[in-house]
Amino acid sequence: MTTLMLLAWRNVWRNPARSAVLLLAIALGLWAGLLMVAVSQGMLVQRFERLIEQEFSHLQVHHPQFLTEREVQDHLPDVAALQHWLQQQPELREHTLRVLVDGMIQSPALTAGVEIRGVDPQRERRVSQLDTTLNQGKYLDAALRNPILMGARLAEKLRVRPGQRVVLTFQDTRQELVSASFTLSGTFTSLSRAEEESRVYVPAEVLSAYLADQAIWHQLAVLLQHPDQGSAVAARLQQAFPQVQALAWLELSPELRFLTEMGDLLTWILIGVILLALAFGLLNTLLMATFERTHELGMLLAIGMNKRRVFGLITLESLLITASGALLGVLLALLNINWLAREGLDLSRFGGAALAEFGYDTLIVPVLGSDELLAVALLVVLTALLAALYPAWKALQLNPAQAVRN
Amino acid sequence: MAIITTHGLSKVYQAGKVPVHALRDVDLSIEEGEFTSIVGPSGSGKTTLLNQLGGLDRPSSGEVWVDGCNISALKDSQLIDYRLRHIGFIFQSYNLLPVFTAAENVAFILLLQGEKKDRIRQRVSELLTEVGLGDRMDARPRELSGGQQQRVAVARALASRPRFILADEPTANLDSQSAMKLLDIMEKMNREHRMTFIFSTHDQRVIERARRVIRMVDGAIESDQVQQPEPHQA
Amino acid sequence: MLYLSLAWRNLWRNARRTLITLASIAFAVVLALWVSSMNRGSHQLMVDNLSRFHTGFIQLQEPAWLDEPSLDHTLTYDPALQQQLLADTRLDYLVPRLETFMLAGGAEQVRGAMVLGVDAAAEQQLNGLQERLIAGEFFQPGDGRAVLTEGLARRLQLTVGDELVLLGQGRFASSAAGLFEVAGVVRHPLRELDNQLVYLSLPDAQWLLSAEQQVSTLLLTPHQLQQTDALVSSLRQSLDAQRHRVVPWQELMPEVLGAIQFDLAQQNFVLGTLYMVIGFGLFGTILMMTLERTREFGVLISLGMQRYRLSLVLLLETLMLTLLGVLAGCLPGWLLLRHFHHNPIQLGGDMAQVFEDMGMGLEPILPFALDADLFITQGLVLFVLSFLICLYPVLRVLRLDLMTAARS
Repeated sequence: MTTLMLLAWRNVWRNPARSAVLLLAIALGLWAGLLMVAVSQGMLVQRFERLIEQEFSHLQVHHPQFLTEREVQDHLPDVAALQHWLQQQPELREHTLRVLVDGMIQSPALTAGVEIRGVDPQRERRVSQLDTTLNQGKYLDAALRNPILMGARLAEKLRVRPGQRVVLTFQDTRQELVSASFTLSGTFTSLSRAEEESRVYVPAEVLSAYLADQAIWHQLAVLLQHPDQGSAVAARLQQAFPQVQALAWLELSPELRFLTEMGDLLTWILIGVILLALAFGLLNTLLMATFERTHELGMLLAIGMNKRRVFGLITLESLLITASGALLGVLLALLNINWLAREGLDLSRFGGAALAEFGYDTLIVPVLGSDELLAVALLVVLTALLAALYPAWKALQLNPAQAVRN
Repeated sequence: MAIITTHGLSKVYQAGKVPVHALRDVDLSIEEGEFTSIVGPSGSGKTTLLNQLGGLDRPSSGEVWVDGCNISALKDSQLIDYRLRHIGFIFQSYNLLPVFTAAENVAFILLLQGEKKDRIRQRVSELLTEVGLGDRMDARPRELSGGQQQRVAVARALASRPRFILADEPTANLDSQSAMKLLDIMEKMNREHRMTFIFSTHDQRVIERARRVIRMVDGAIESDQVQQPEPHQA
Repeated sequence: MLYLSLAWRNLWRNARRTLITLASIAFAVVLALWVSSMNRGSHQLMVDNLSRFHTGFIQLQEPAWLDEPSLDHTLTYDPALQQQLLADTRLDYLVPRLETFMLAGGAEQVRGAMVLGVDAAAEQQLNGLQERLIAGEFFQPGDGRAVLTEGLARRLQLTVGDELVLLGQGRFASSAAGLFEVAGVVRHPLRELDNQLVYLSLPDAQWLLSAEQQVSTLLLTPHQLQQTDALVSSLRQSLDAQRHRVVPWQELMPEVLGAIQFDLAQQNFVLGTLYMVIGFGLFGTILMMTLERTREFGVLISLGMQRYRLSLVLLLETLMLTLLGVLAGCLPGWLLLRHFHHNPIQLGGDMAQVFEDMGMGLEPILPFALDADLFITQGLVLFVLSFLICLYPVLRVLRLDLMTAARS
């Protein structure tokens, strides 16, 4: 085996220029593939963090019918017991309660549909960091009688500025229509266009008072020590409180799943294409190298090197070139990704500005997991083996008696 | 005792639509320790015969027996192993591995046989010294002359301790001085190790050195003579 | 001519080598075509799906609608305008819509709802709306009936035959109120719209909102998606910009255009990588070929063939080789794309569910485009790329050292 290895290694380097070119092709292909994986992984991770932070938390609790019906009267039962239970969980980091109702907003300029969120201003900022997204005015100003916070795009459409009034109309728990006037306290920006166009925040106690005689809540949003704990805590909570519905972020966002799975699928398809191109280059070169060495291979068969070893020789040559190239490529990719992780990759330079419309950051920090690295490395080895098959088979077809002569 | 015997050995090739009879009904017997030359014009079937004896090709009809074993009946994989352990080859165009040194080229066949490393080193050095290349062990083929390369090939053929060595036109690419030197070495091996040599040639001076000369014409043996070889003047 | 035949014969003297090189180039063409076709296909599908369910391909609006989409800025939609527009043969059909936000109420419940006055037949043509009916039927123009989306119907606790109250503002601050019988319920593929749409027939909506002959937007559908840009520019010339604003989907859904442009950047990165990998692979083959032929070159020069003549022959060989390679790639490429164009990759099981859950009305397939310009672009790029790489032996001959050539 060591002899075969030595022979293969020397054969690889008998035409250094050719091998160097191939090696470079493999290295560059691998570098590009890994970079692609890392960038799309980075985008997803950031997307995850942001969506979870601002939208889903790690875990949400609702009335079992609330998510499908969104009826005001489907509010959470046993809120005090829920809160008490949560506070005893070691995984708990933060939690907040929200009142949710859909309604209409009116300004002198426009009437539009909105999602109204009644929040506890202090707790809300600790869970969703809502106060950090303001671009105008103040965060739910306690000095105002009925303060309201809305998306910057909505404010623009309604043509209102902080200090001006809007009217909210919605249905209370007795199914009566209620209209109330609110004063714009500030506007926020969001990476999601839809959110910026259709969401408003008001103090929970104000909204609750319009809706019912006592305080009601529709949503309990919970942050845990780690996102991965979401499903486990949700299951425990569900067991303790069968009368509510507890969902971890994974089940809350079909969009996240879509992005993850679609992104993954496309990335692997494209990596497959790159590997296919690599395989073909490798195959052609090995094939030419086999034809070029008809003499030698014939001699080896003549003096008694068996077919398995000849096959092994060519496969080993393919593996050696590929492994060297892959090593270089991985090194290149790791250095590159490391550097990008420090600097951040600004996708807006590559037409990525539109990503913001979908709630993505344009400054990407690429991430390369060891799983992905391993998967790509395995695929590359597989490519090398596949590319060697045909040339090796061709070599076995040689007739040693003829091959040694001409 | 005969090492090799052939019975009614025939080989027919298909050249386009015309069948070519490369060997016609060859009956041959080679004894241990022979130094035999197969001669004849090109196309007379010399190489075809050697290929048959070496198990590189299969007969259309007839049999080749080596040491009481019908090698024509062996399976492909058995035949390869047979060649590795029982037959030494010397080719017209040397056919050394260009990426290996002289020593590695000789060692290679021993490694294929599964010999132990330390024993290989000693044997390679002995063999290369015997063929007069003790000081060129680490040279690559392209740093050696044609004669030197062919001597490495002889060392390689000997290395596996074969029952006999087949050499197809071993001197065809050599100048006469190198050719004579190669013959000296082959003769010495024949004498000292009782190694059987069968070589094809059409070089008259080489023919003169053989002790048995088999002449072929049109794929058949025309004459088979034992002769007193000319002593070589160094 | 002599050179030409010499070059041609040289190519086929070692047919195996030539075939390997040809295969390299052809394979590159096929791969590049496949990648760009998949990209183009998914973009077209996305634009098509979203345009049909969201904004239409081209919209005609009253210029002030953009800044203030209220009923005060509607468009007069009369037979004269209709005739003028449909005179352009690239235009297939028109889809008028009158939209506003109102309160919708059933017996118990009240909700904010988007009221859409539509021409049911035109909507059907645009997005097959009637096939999405899950109960009842569609209204006839002016019969005083309404169709609700499933989510809204559930919230208002209304079914077919019940009465729906609409309450809000009409044109020029008039008050608008009406009573409609629920004719049917549809399931809208866009989740956010499914919770809030009320369809009325256009005449009913115009009556309700005191907006006779008015529409908010007029959607124009071209026969082919690719005609959009040309159609927009000729409409902009023929229509009075003071009264009519022509907006293509690119401006209606800038985020989709942006996403496509970003996607193209990603595609170009992948194609760039592909070209690089393929280029190096080809270069490896060419290097070996040159090495094998160095001796031959040396002999020819020694025999008195001038270097430039030999270079010329090699240049011709290169030209033929790359041209043949690219052409040889186009045919299987076309067959492959045609196959995938007619049999797009179906995303089954889990992925299909994920598409459904997304609620954006996207089909769970990876479609492929079969546009001629893909072949021209990729063919040209790969021709230039492989030509440059195959120039290597030409350069080599110009600087060949005869002594080394003879020894090799």
